[in-house]
Amino acid sequence: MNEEEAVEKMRDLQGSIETSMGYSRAGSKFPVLFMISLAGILGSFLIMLAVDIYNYYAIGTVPGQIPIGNNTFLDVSAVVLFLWLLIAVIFYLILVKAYRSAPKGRWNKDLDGGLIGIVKIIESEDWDETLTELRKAKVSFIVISIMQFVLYWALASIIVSFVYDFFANGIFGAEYNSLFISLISALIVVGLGDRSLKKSYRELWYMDGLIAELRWFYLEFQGSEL
Amino acid sequence: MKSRYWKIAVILITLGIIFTFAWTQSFHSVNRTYLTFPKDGNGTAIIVFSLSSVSANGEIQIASNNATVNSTHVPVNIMFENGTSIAVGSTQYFLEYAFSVKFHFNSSALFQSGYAASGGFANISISNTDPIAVAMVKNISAEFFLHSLPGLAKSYGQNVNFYAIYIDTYATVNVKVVGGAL
Repeated sequence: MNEEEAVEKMRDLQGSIETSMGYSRAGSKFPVLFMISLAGILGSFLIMLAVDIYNYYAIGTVPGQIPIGNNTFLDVSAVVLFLWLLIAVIFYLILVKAYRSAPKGRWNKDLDGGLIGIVKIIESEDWDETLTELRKAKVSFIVISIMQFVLYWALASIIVSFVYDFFANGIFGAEYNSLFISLISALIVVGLGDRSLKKSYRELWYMDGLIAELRWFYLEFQGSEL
Repeated sequence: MKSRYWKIAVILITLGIIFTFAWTQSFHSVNRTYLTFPKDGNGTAIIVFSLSSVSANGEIQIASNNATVNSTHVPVNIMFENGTSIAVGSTQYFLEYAFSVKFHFNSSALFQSGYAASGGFANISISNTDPIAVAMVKNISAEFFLHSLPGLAKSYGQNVNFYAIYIDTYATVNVKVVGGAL
């Protein structure tokens, strides 16, 4: 391997580590997301309660329904759904901001110096810390993937509910079947997300490989006399 | 290691979730429409039951259903629990409620142990999970409504509140009751 190839390999390694660090940074926001989720659940129940109390004083017909006109009612679940869509957007903004906050191109200046720069990077980098961050990144990546799946599942469920209501209920008078709608929605998400699913699996596999390689590299580095 | 304030916040929000969820579960409602008619000189009673652990607000709306006797509109005669009565004239349109009466049950003992009853003269079922019931008792006399019906309603138990009106003519009656732990 010549100097140019070695520098190119290090640039690849830098890219992979930076991507993983992004996930690790995003993962550091999970406690905030957890607190927002709890506040969201509390907020949902407070909205339901407010509507129930309003119905009590207005002698509305059904608790959980908001009168919006002459004999027209809006179910409180629509308001709660809107709240959770808002929370999903907040989640996205927090995660993306954290992901993008990972430092980029830290090694670029050293790598411009060729082999000497590579040695400098190897010496100065805290590999112990890098490995720990990579392990965190893997867990974060899995959790973010699950969250992404749940979000798509929820969106698919809303669309499938409307379609089911239009066809199954409208034409055949079939009753709303939440289990059926959930299963179909999950299948649609898996089916439509086939490529991203494979990509996620590859990324996870790649991260595993990166951790194993870095661990090997780190042990070698510790044993060498640079 | 999470800070102490973080843990306190999680515990407080979780308690808030449990409290608000339980409170929303306490709300129940009934919305029914009945058609009343006289029979053998008797009338119809509309009776609303509510567990005393629940605060309830209700409204009974009454409309003449434009029944006529000898081409003359029959007014709706309504009698209340205290024996007073009122005659309400027919309206121009069907289902245009001409008269409404509102009532309220105070929760006398919140979160007390449950009481359940079912069957009886009005064939109602009332329990902690279904604390509001409305029934129509057909073909009873005004005398029975005033003197015997309260006793029968009380037989559902001390934990059950009730409100009743008596209608001795043709009417469309809409009963709405919303109750909860308030």
